[in-house]
Amino acid sequence: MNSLRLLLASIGVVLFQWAFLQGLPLSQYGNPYIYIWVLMLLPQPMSRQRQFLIAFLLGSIMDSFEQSGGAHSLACLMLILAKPSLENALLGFRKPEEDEGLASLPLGAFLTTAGILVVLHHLFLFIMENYGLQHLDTVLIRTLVSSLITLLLLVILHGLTARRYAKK
Amino acid sequence: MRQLILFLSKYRNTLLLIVLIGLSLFRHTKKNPVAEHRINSMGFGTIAGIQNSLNSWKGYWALKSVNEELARENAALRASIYGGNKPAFQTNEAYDYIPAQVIEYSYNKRNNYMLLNVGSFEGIKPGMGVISAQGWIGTVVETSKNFSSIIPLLHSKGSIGARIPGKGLGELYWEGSDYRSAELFDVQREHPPMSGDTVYSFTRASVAPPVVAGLVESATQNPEDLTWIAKVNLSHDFANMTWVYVCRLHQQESLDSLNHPTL
Repeated sequence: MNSLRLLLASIGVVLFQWAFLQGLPLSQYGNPYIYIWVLMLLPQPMSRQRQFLIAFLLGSIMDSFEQSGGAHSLACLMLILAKPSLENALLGFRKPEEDEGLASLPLGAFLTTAGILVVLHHLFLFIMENYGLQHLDTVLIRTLVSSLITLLLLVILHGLTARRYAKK
Repeated sequence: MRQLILFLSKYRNTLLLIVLIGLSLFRHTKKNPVAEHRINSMGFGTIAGIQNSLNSWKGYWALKSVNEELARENAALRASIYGGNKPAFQTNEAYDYIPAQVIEYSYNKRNNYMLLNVGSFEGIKPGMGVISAQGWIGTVVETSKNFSSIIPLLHSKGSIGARIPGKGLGELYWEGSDYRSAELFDVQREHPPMSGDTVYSFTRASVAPPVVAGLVESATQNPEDLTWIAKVNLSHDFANMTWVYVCRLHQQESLDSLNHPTL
């Protein structure tokens, strides 16, 4: 995945997030955050510094939009931090030249890996937004509902784009 | 020196991660309504502009409820003209009410936010109060040329003074879970709040006139100092916000000159 494609994907996803997903009528119980799809596209052989920087920038943009301080940047950094070890544990060894992030995976493997990452990101995000663990029930309900909707949207996105990114 | 360079190059990933986490945490702790730090208000006008263009289509969802609210407000105003009743939305001649459209808002976080499509060009200044036909919303904290940012009551620093007529003052504070209710602290022990009492906002004159903030649902007594804590059902629906009013005091200049006399 070259960097131009990545840039276009991130702009598209952030715009889509803000035009259609933010503040939906159901957002009382949770809000999907589909922008983390960009982080899932990052291939594992990409240098860690670049991955951290991309996560931080993407999170900062979301923070500026949502006025959430640094909650999104922190959650994105956590996601990127956990991603390689999770991928290694769940998917095993992959040839570096075939590794195109989660985009080249079959649906089942994508679902489990992305599911864990999404729940991790959302849980961290909502705890940071909540400034601690008071009202833990609300945080957990929001995490559950948001994760489910995000995951559904991610699976749709994966279905739409996976063939294009599959190996030739 | 060589050791230092070796150390830096060996741990560069971890160090970068620590720096980025530090930056995010710094930004997170400085997330403050009074714009404690420039880092959180950089590019605020641009961002509000982008959101305005992305969100404009969402307004169509609310047309029905906006019409209903307008009709109800008109009815109340009409009743106050002909019948002499005090309307729920108090008219006070010392104030201008600047109508503003809500571009973006949240209501399900610990610290919520709101953006309005009016700014310093329309004469909005930080510190002005924001109300709706149903009641109190919040205060303006920051303005750009065309947009302004509000701290609503649903914010850890959005608490206001509030008053139950005949029963004294208290502090209306949102404790962070349900957007439909808040708590009124420090009501004197001689005057227990009753279920159904109206709670009015009590802010400085330069902020807003007293408006309805909510109705008391129940009250408990604080065992330590015997003051009353009332649970208040907020009259404004924070989950559905479309149009609001920003209050501007007419004689702001003369009030300022009294506050800061020229020596």
